[in-house]
Amino acid sequence: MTDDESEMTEDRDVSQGRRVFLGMGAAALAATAVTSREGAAQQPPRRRADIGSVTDRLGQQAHWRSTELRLLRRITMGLTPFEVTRIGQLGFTNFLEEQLNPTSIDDTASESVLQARYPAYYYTQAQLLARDSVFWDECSRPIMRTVIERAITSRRQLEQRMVEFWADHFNIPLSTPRVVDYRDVIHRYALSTFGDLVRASMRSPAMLIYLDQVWNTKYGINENYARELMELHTVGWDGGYTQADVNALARVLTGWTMDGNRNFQYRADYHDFTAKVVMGQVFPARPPAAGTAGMDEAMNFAEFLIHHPATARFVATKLLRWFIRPDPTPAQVTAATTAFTTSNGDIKTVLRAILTPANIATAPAKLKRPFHYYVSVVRGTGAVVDAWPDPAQWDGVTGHLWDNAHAPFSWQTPDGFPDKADYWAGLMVNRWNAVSSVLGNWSGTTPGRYPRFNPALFLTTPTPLGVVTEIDRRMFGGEMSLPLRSELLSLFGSSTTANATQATLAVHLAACSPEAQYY
Amino acid sequence: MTDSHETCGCGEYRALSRRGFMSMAGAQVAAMSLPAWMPDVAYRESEDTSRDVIVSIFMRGGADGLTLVAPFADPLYYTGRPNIAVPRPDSSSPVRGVALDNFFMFPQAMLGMYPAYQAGDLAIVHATGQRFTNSRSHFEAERYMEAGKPNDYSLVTGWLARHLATSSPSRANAPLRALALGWGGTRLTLTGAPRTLPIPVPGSYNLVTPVGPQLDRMFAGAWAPARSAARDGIATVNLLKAIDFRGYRPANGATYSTTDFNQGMRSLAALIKADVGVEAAHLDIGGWDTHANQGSTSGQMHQLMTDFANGIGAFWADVVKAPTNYRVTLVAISEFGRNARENGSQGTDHGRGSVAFVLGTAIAGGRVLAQWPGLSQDVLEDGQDLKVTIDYRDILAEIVTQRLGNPNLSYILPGYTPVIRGITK
Repeated sequence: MTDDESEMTEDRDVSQGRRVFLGMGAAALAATAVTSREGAAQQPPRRRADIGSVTDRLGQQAHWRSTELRLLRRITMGLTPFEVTRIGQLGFTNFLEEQLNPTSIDDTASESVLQARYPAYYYTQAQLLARDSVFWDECSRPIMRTVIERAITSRRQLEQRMVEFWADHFNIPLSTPRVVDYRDVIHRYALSTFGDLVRASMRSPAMLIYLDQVWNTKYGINENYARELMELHTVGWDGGYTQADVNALARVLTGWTMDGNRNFQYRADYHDFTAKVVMGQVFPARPPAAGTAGMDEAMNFAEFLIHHPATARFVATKLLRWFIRPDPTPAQVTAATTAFTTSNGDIKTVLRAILTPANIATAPAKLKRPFHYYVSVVRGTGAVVDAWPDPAQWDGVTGHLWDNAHAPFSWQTPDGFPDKADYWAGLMVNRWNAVSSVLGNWSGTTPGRYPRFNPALFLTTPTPLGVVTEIDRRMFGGEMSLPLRSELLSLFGSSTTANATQATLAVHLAACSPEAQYY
Repeated sequence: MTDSHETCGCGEYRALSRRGFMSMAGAQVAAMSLPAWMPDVAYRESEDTSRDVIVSIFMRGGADGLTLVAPFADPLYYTGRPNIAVPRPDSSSPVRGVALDNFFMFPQAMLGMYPAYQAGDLAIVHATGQRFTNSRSHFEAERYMEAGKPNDYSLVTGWLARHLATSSPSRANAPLRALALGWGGTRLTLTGAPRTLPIPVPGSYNLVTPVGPQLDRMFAGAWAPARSAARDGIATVNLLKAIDFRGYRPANGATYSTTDFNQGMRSLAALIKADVGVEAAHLDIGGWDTHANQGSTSGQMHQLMTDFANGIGAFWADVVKAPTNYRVTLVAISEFGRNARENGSQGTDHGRGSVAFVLGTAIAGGRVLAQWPGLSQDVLEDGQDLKVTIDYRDILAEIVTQRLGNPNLSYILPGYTPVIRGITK
């Protein structure tokens, strides 16, 4: 379509555009001590950007000095004194290893509360099936609350970040079978191997329904799942397949469906036994047969996809974007991809290659998505989320995540919520309103509708400096910036003591502040 | 994926999400008193009346152009779609289509847009889409289309954003030049635009914080895009508070339905008439990925088309139709169309050419503009899809230059030399 010359014109246009869009940002950067000029300068200008924001890679928070705290910000849903103390005891590597092995962390304090509060999340397939007709009124909010509250209270914080990642990677909007998928595919294999996830997802009725695989039979092809299995789940949009490959893979997948009880089932009588070629993989024609005959075709092709070099690169790069930066360097991509390939997609091995001290220390601050932000505000402020007893009624926890367009399971298309600052940043007012709802003790006569905030947590030393120091300790790991410290202190005016109203106000400003938006 | 709306109750889920959850959050916020620190905004009359307000609508999911505007005079349309074709206008079927000319028709669900078509304000472009990529991936094709250039992942801003970035505001002190209406954040179409925010529901856009001045000050030193979002957000809360969205009365008897899309169009109409300097808006309407049980004359696509056509039809009567005559140009596009033939589950898989709608008093409407490539096997792209014969950027280019007065096409639609198709008058 374009010749070389217009390509070059395009590049000039893009770089000019960056100057236009970034000009004010750079001026603001230069004018403030909050952001590191060195950090910005260290990043060489990139002529061609990767997927992601032009605007969220402007540098680092210079006052984030500790590599351990930088790791904590990346692999948790927000700092709390517990994790800060823990990493102080264990150090970078041992803390990461502990988090990489979630079963080594006792999480009964979190899990027992959730089980008691929200049985809907734990229903078996049969129990859920029996509640199909009342699912939305009786189960949807408890399930969302479980997801939100576990992110807040679980000590397996890296696992929670990975659950969030895979829930987007294999996105399915909320439905009765999605609960089973989220629990038995996404959560179960979040730190296992990539192959485990793909194999389980291919047998997950929620996925087979959502992407129309249940309609894909030899009597009529439906390409939906075949395409997304390659494009979104494995080799990626530039993974080297063609439209003919999509169609042929759909035929390979015929017969993968479910039974009347919504369990996975292979139906040989639906399978297309004629010859197929997908991405160069040959499936010769064979005589139709019963039982599991023909099922091996999709199983074999899944292994081909799982072990394809494009898959390693696609998934490793996406994980780098998730944890490190929107524009990972070629060296970072190579290291993570190699770890993926040599470990056969072992997720822990890939994460060790990504979450290195060097990568963590140089990672530019990244805008929290609204879910991450909300959870981090609750965690940092010590607000308590009580049980929400009435699933049919609106509640302020899921409500404010809806208001931020980031309620669990609410993304309707299979690509999952965007991991891009440009998509989310515009909702800043919605974020601040969510902070008000966390700190405002708005529940009134409906206990549990909103979080419960106790300003006394910040009044152990009831002076302005005492409150600010406690905010720094709880919410920022002791690395609060000087401009924020000075803004907080000035809230107290000439007062030498601090009361609950003042403490709440200070916590509010800290939670809304620019540096609380990033991790 | 769309079929799941039928079987899993996602439609109900979405209804809950948008109306139940969000409006209550809005009400909760609205119940709080306004902070006293909020400054008054000085309103001025529009300085520049030469530019239309541009409304960009993205039909996300790959809308089936062969149902939206069906070619009843092409017999292969009926051959390829034995179960899901719309009956001919001259048939006796109760769900027969309504002829737009001697070749194309609206299904009955689209009749909400028919008065605008009859009045000559609605132009339809068929067999349109992206000529220079054959991607059938939603996410790749959407990305290229919204960026305004195919096959280039380095372009990370949207075509409409670059129009805004290369034009002076139509009002110098407007806090909000553009907005994305509806649930969600900023889509690529508007990514990179100055003074632009996602505002799901303008009537409940509010801010409850006791520390507004501090935030305004602190975010002045934050990074883009958080900086601009924060400061524009604070200013925009004020701006929108002055507009009575709840009590808004549409003109000419226009009736918006209760759906998100219709309510978004209604809010937009109120915003345009309030004349506060908003010069661009983007709306998404999703759900067009009709792989199974498409429902051309009843069912999911029928409902979606009804929603779409009613929203645009009401907006036309309310804002565009004489004697209101607000200067507005609306364009609705989709990332691709769908297979010419139906699939095995009475739906259609991802295809290529689709249809686009352009609305405005300065649009040469009342006609279907097409270089019809035909539906025979030998002319279908990859043997399966309606070819794209008019690149969608021909439409955008004409709007940008003729209706928005912006000559910077090489920046807004880089690397493309448009063909002027005579879409504007």
